[in-house]
Amino acid sequence: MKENTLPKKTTWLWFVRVILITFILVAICLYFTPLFSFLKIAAIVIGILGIIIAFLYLPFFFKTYKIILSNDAVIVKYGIFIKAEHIMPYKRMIYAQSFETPLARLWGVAAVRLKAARSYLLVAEIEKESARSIIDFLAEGESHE
Amino acid sequence: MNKVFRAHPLMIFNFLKPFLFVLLIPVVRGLIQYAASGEYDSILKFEIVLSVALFVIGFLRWWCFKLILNEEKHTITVISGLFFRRTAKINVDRLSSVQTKQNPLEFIFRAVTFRINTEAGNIGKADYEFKLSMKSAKAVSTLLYGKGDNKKIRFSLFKIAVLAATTSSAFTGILVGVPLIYRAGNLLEIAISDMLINEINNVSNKIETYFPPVVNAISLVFLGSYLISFLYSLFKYLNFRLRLGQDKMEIRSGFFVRTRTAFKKAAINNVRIEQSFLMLLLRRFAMRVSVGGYGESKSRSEVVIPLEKGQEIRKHFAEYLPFFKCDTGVFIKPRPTAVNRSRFLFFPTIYFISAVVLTIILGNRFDDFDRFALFCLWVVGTLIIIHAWFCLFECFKGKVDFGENVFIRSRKGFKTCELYCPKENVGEVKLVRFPADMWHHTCRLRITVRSERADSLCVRHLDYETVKKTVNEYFEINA
Repeated sequence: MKENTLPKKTTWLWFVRVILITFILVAICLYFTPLFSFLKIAAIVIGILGIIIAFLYLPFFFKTYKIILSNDAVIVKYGIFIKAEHIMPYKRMIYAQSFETPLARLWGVAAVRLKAARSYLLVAEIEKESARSIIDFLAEGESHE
Repeated sequence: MNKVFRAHPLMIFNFLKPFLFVLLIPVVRGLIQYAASGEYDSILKFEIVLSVALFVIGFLRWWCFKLILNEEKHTITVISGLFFRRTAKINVDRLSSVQTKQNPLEFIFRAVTFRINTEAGNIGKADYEFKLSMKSAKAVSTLLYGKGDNKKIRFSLFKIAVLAATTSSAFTGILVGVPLIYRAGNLLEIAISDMLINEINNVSNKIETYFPPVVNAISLVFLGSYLISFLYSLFKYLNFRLRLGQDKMEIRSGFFVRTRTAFKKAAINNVRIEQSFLMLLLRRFAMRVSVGGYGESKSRSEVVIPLEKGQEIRKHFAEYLPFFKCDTGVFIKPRPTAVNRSRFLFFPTIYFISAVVLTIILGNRFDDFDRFALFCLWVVGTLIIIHAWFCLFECFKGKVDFGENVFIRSRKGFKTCELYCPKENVGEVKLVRFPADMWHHTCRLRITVRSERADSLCVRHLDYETVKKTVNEYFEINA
């Protein structure tokens, strides 16, 4: 049974994403403040929330993130306030897909989506090599059985 | 060994399709205007820049697309996306079906639309859809399913025409024909629809029958619509060919738009042998298979044999799909008592009496419409008689067999149906009892296949205790 945690790069990637989104939203709110004064408060709230998420929530959240490759299933565990455990048996899985955004490519990480008939399991960004090996393991495992 | 395939350049235009009317056509129009009069709108420059940018993005997206086949590992890898890059690796055994489609434009450019379907796809949408050159598509199909010594089976035009006739309806004809006539009229700036209505009025007034002209007009509209639908189906099924490999099946059809679907026999969920009313008159059957799909996933229904005699179709079924056969010989049939048999004609009798009573009331209430009401009764009465025949079929021929596979024979609307499904593909077994069933100790048994299409079939008035006991034993339920 293999147990994997997320690389630090993932936390940094999401940190930059959250900061960027927060910055864009705050900038939009401030730009329209002369027209709608309440947007100033919205900008402050969004800014504070963004900082809390980026500096406090994300590091703890990604620390709880665990990917377990057992003999029969892929198990993903995560959550701080609400703990979640997503189990996908290999038998139910149809195929795996990696997903890279331009920012993720810069960091050399990729998200993995495991597709089953009724649902899918999303694994947050992991090292590109790890993503490739998971996809290979899941796609080729069947033919080696 | 990896084999890499690139998409056909026609795919670039596929990416630009959403912008065709809002951007590309105005640009072309603007350029023509500029060439003709030397004048251009101020927005044209912006539109040209945007079009070029979109074309470059489309070109790069096409350039980034790759299809990699690994023969040793039996996997298929699809890499797509320019900014948001997606890489999917699918085991070939997990594919539901692979479909190629070719419209006249693609035929000119020697390209095909290639669709990869798995059970994880969205409803009505392929997992991956892209353009490949004809040569590459052929090579991919060969690599996926092997060349083998496929047995090619062709069917005569008559059989295809009957299949088209049985899958056509006046309603489909209206759905296809009306927008076509409307658009053609708009494009040619001719009131085609008005001309057609006038023509129908003229012809229906000229035909002298016992029934009023409106009946002739309605009949003409329905016949015309049915003809459109028939032609549409005929061109869809023309060139129908079946190729049989050891593990796979390949179905080709189409005249203007050519479709080719390949799938493994293992991906078949269930087999249906059907007989519509027209087929009943010709004493012929059709065989369909439902491929792939669970829950909210991708599934297809394909005609395997369009038209064949009963004996012949069963022979083909045993030959092509022997693992679907169900031969225990222990059938559950509707109770053979006179009371139970008469129950099958309960609803047709009610429908017929209601139709007659309604016609009499309408004929008396509206004197001018009595002949029209009579015509309606004649049409509805014919339909009720056909329905009654199918109910009698269910009574005398309906049965269920829980063997190695599940077999169920009954009627479905206006056609008879035999459904063969492996035990593990049975999604739901439903036993329904109405007050009359409780009185007669009978039940209705409905079996639904676990797939997106959820093919189901129901046999009525079976002995409740026998069905309950058999189902519990078969599915190992401790009730």
